[in-house]
Amino acid sequence: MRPRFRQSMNWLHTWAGFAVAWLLYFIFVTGSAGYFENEIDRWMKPEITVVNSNDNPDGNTNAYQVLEIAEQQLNQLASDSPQWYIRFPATREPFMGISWLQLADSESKKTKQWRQKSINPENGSAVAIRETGGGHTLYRMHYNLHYIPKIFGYILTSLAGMFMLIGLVTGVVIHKKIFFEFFTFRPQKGMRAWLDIHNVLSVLPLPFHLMITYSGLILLMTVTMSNVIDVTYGEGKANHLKFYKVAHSEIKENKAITLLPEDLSLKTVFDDASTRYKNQKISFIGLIDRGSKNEHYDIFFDHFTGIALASSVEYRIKDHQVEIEISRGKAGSAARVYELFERLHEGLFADIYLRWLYFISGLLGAGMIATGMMLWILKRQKNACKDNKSSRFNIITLIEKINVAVIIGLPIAIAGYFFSNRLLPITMVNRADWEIHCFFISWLACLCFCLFRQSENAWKNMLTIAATSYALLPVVNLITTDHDIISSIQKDDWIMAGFDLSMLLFSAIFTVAVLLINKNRQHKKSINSHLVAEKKSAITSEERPS
Amino acid sequence: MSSIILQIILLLLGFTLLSLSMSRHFSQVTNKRQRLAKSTVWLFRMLGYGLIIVSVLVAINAWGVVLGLVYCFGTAMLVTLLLSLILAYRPRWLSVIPKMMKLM
Amino acid sequence: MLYPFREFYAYLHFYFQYTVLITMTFIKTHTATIGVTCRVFIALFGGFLLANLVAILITYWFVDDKIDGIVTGIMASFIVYTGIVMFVFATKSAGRAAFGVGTACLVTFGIIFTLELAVKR
Repeated sequence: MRPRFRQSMNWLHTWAGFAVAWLLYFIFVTGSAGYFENEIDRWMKPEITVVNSNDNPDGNTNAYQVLEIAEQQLNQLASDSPQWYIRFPATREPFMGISWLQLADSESKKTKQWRQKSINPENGSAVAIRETGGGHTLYRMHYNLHYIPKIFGYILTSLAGMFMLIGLVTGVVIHKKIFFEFFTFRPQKGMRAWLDIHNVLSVLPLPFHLMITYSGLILLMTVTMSNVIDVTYGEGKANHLKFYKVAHSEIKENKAITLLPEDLSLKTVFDDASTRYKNQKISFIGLIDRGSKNEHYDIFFDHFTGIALASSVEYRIKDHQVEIEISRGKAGSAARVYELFERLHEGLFADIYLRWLYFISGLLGAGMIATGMMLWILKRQKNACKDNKSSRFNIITLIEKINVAVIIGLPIAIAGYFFSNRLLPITMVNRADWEIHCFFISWLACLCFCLFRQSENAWKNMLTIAATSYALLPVVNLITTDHDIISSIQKDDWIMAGFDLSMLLFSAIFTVAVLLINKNRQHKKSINSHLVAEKKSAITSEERPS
Repeated sequence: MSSIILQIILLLLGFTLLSLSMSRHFSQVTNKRQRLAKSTVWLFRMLGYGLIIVSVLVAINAWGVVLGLVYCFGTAMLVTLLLSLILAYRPRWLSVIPKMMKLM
Repeated sequence: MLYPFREFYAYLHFYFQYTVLITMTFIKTHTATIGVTCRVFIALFGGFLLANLVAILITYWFVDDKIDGIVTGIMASFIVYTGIVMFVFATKSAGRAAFGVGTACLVTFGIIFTLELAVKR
């Protein structure tokens, strides 16, 4: 390839990356956390009682009991709600619960929202769950960017994704020895080491990076490229709805079954579905459009075939006969391709091993962006050193400080979000909103802190704060709830224990980073003192003869 | 579970051989500067690529095309990350392979 | 009396010359910056326009299934966009980049226009 082409691509890589680096870092970190959405959710709702499926091998009798309790509770709490869901223990969410859509009511100042309660199968009581954003809000942040209107969030995220794609492609183009330096990481070599890390972090998970970026763009394509839909279907929401309807149409199979219409109830539906699909565990039963003509039961399974969730089954009364409706996948090939990318992006099918791999890949992506930013700053500093421009205030130093605040501040902010879940008063009004406010307040605090520190100290201090806060999370959990690591393990509550242990792991990683910085600095100091001593001895030896 | 472990072993071996087919990493491991003979390079490369292809086939066989590829790419990421760390900090751990080569 | 606004004209003339001078010196000293800014604009907006046009053009390829065409078009357009941005920054000058993207836009628009006419007939 011509050298000038490579040079211009290098320029594009540098500046396209720089332009959206912090936004991309935010997207990657919160998106990676999103892979553990359900696990985070469970940790943020400590009231939930975990059910172990191996406790009672005869699952169905227990399930009937739960169904009874759930129905009773729903009748009491949500008699006017159009949608009911009853949750059964699943692999990632081993607990029972009910959720319903609460309609807006101006008299009692209720807003339209989803409500949920956990059910304790041992004593049959429904437990209220604290109001929390949960893992879902954290996960949603990576594409709606929270405070700004949704549509701007989508567009900004897509733009960042586009820059990322450009960065990836140009990165591959400018990296001359992509296969020869596949494993190369030379730690003790200053700037070269940073470049090596940047390469390793981008090349090793390159398939993941390409997939996640491209599929991310595709997931938001109906927002960003809506003009293309306009041309065929016309502008406006109503016209676009026509497009979605056709695009998402599914192949459905209808079958009349022997169940009598008057017998149709939660219990009979559950019974029928669990005998019909013996090897698939039911995770949800929904009663949709209650009281209307279209009332039907929805059954979801906790079962994946390949990367696709097992298709749900609907029970409804049609022509005085009970009919089941099974979805056989999307009708159009375009929709199927879209679905493939969607599943790969969300990784819902992943077991615990793949889930961690997804998570690590995402964090490596975040690391790639962070090291890219470091390289940008280091290069400019080096140039500034060459030009001998040492003004007291310069823009590079400012960017360096903000960079620290973003890179280490974001994990701290996430820790702050978790802390707020435990420490804010349970009865607080708008508690879920305040959790998110806490997230951004702690991030802002980090920024203020970094602006008033020298950047070298800022790195160390921020890493120390991060290490401490992650180490404190299990402690706070222990104090504010009755879930400590040991008792969680004893109770087989592996999600709670796993979360606490992961927090300790992150704390350990931050501690190692602090130690590495210290070691590096001592190394530098000893080199400097050597140099000074050598200079002194040189001076004295020069002085002696005279 | 066993398929995952098989994946890890196959890919680890494959990528280790690939990395050792490069003179730079081979010198790192044996701690002497040396150029590899062409025949060794080819042997390592063929074996390395062969093992990787086998692991892809095994994964597709075990999980189907899409999920198998996801497993394969994910495990490859993990394994290569591990390898680059080993090569950077503890290259002697891999000296087993040159020793075995000598025995043969 | 003939030129009641003589002073005004003089002022205007001076002002005009002054502006031209300032602009010229600005262009001379900041050629690189202006070039880069132009390229950024061409890449962002021209690229978006061209990517959209290409996507729409692709939808015409699929006569039977419009949905497939739309989705394929949009999926391809992201790659097209990447290519356009790389082209814009790889060419020798901003002018060439503008010319390239502009011509491509006109050509695709022309094809779409004729196709649309043909379809309507």
